[in-house]
Amino acid sequence: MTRREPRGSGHGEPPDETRDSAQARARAAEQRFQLVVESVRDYAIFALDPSGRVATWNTGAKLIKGYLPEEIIGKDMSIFYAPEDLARGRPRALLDAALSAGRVEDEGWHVRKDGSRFWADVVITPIRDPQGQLQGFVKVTRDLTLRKDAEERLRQSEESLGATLYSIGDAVLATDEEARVTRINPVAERLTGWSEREAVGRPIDEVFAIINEDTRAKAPNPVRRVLAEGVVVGLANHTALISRDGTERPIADSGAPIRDAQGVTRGAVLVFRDITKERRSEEALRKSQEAVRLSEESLRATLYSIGDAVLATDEQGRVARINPVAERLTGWLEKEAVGHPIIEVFNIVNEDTRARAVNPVTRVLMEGVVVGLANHTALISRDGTERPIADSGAPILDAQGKPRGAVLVFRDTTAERRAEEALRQSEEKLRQMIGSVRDYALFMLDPKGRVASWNPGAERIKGYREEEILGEHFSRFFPPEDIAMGKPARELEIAATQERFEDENWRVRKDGSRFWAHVIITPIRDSSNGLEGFVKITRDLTERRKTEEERLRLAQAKEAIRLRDEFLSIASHELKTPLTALQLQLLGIQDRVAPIDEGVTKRVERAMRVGGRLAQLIEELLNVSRIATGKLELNFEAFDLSDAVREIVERLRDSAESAGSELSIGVADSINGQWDRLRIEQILMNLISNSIKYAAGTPIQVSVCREKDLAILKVQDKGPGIPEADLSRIFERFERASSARHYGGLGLGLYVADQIARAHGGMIVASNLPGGGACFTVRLPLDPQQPAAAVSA
Amino acid sequence: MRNGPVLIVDDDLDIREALAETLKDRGFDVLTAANGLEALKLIRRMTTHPSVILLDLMMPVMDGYGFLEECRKDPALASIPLAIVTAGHGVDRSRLGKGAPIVPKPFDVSQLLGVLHELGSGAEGTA
Repeated sequence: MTRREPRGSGHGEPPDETRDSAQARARAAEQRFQLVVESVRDYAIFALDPSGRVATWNTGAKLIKGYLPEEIIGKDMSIFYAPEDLARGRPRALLDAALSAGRVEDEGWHVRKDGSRFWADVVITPIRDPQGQLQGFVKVTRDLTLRKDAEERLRQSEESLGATLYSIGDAVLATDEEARVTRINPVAERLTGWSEREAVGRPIDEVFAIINEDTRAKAPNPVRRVLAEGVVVGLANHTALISRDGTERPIADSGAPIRDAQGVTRGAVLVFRDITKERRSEEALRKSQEAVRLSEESLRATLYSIGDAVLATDEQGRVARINPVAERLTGWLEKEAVGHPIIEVFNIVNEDTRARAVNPVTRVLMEGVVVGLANHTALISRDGTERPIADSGAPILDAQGKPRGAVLVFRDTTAERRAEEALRQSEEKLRQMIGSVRDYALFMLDPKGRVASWNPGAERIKGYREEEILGEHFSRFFPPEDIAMGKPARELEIAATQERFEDENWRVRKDGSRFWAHVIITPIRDSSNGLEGFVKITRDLTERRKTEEERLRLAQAKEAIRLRDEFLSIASHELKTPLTALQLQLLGIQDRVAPIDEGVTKRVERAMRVGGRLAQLIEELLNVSRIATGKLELNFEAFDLSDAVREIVERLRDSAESAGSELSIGVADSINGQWDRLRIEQILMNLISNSIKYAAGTPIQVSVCREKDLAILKVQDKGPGIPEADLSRIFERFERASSARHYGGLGLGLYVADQIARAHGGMIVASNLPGGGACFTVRLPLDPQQPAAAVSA
Repeated sequence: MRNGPVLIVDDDLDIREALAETLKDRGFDVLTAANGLEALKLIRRMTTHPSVILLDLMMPVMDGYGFLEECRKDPALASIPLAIVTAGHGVDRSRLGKGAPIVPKPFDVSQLLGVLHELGSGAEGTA
């Protein structure tokens, strides 16, 4: 659907010429759509799953096979095959062949829903995903029954031609295009002395041997001229036929070409008669020749139109002949109709105006030309039945080119009309469908690559409106570098030669922005396989591509972090061994110099303290890397948390005092639970050390109590508190509220404490106390190994 | 108290030396080996088995786990008290024998001496 400015809008109407040409273009685009539609209706196109069950169903499939989608989807494809094919395992064999060859084509009888059979041309192609995994098959089926029917009709027509030949009073002889006898009627048999059985297949000159009566020389055979020049040939005067037994008879004859539907000469017909009795009368001969020619002409006209209604008139427009089909349609029997004026028998009206229509025979006889019937003509039969018809009239001309009568060929188009209407409606539906597709740009290109149709999806994705893009070359959707490389032309070439082109690449919108497009181009071909243009389907995959890139970047970043943590872990371990050796050596020196030199002893002690700090830092790094790499393992054991608190407070009392802080403890009864004791002690150490560091000089209180299934542990100080902005991120890695560098450490203590609490199903909350100072509250489930045990925020 | 030497098995020369000297300073009799295989050969040549083995885990040629497996096969060796001295990187506890204490690096001397005492090794010079 095209968005158009409302008529009479503020911008004024476009000039008529522009509007007309736009409409013409739109009409042309619609016609092109119809072309696609036709090909879709003519083919049953549907998908099978890998096991051969029907997965999709199109209009063509419905029309050809008779099943509605809801009846057939999920059914095995064998339902389409005749019992004899099923017995041979044909359906499965075709799928196997398609799998091994990548495609299989087959022709044979298929069964419709109603049990009737049709002659089908089938192509099965496997569908595979980019990994080569079989997704199913596409099956395209074409109903070739009509072609079979046409062949059958031709056969019947030939039979009837034969019947006519054998009953004719003149000798008739027909040849193929190589002048070999194909038929010979009884009169000709008698005159030539050859029976049909013997004559068929022999060169014409052997069967029809003629000489010039005067010179006695062999005369040129008219069939040769007919075949060479494709014209009607009369025999030269004074020609005699020598029969097989040597009898010589003067003959008169004429030869005419037999042409196929394309006008190609396929053979010749020779009509001749013995003129022994008539030869003295030139006039009689001429008339006879004329009669033969006329009869042959009318015979041919009749023969060509067998299956359709045929009606012949004399030069006055009186009915001379009428075939059975015409009898049925007009309601007149031949014996009744002959001699009646054509307008009586062939009574036609204009369907719209109801007025009597001009009879084509009248025009044929007056003008001597071939006349087609006007559209919307209906034939009123004798009983009043009205039928839409299509017809044409042709003159029967005499040797002087004067009309001697007319032949009218017509047929009942009721069924065609119905089919056309159904087709039109289905086309309309498809057009509406394409018009409502917004996720795909679905448009057509002419063979040169110019845009021939447009849909809302195309407008949405590419930004052009229909009226500004129709007729433009599709290369404008490509980035300049692709145009420079000749990509647009190459894509069409691939589509035309390989029947399909598919690509994912950058394309350009009207506003110049680029989008990541998935493109499929397929050629459209007419019935004689000529290139009509292309269908192009484009999807905008920019968002998907962005998401994929984002995911890739994230994965890469995660991998980089993982590698860093891995490295951190290994490096820390490697650092520990030499540090241990260093500490042992320092200890050895201390032992030896202690009794001798007090100065050196003091310095060694300092060196050992520095070593101790180094060991702590390494341990901190290791904890972080263990957490980050998911290697923080907990060894649960039952113990009393109050005990642990008391022990740690005692362990840290000295360092708290040297920082000017008094450590007090508020512990009620014993609180027993299941935890990793070393890790819980680490939480306590880290939180208390944190307060000693940041709230030096103020009292620090550590308390622990029990609330239902939780142990609540608190560390409070009277220091500067935590800035509001930092409360949320204080537990993140390498974060600390104070930016000062003089505190030392890696800023990982709170992070590690938080991670340990989480690993226990617990949590730590940092807050500021109303009277000043910070408070860290740790909540731990008493038994973290219970499935339901987890503290929620 | 047994009187056999303390056997230090560690591929790191610095550790072997520092540990050996520290223990010698405290009156222990000390032997060293650079890997499990060297340690096995050494023990099998000794008339008096070590009183304690201090075993590193990560070593070339034969690592600590391999050494433990060999010891388990030989009843004479299986009875020797043993402590694992390790930087703790990827310790597979399931492959360590029951009851072997782990001394994580870095360690202080009092911790190590405590372990040695528990395992029943006595220094010659101490009572």
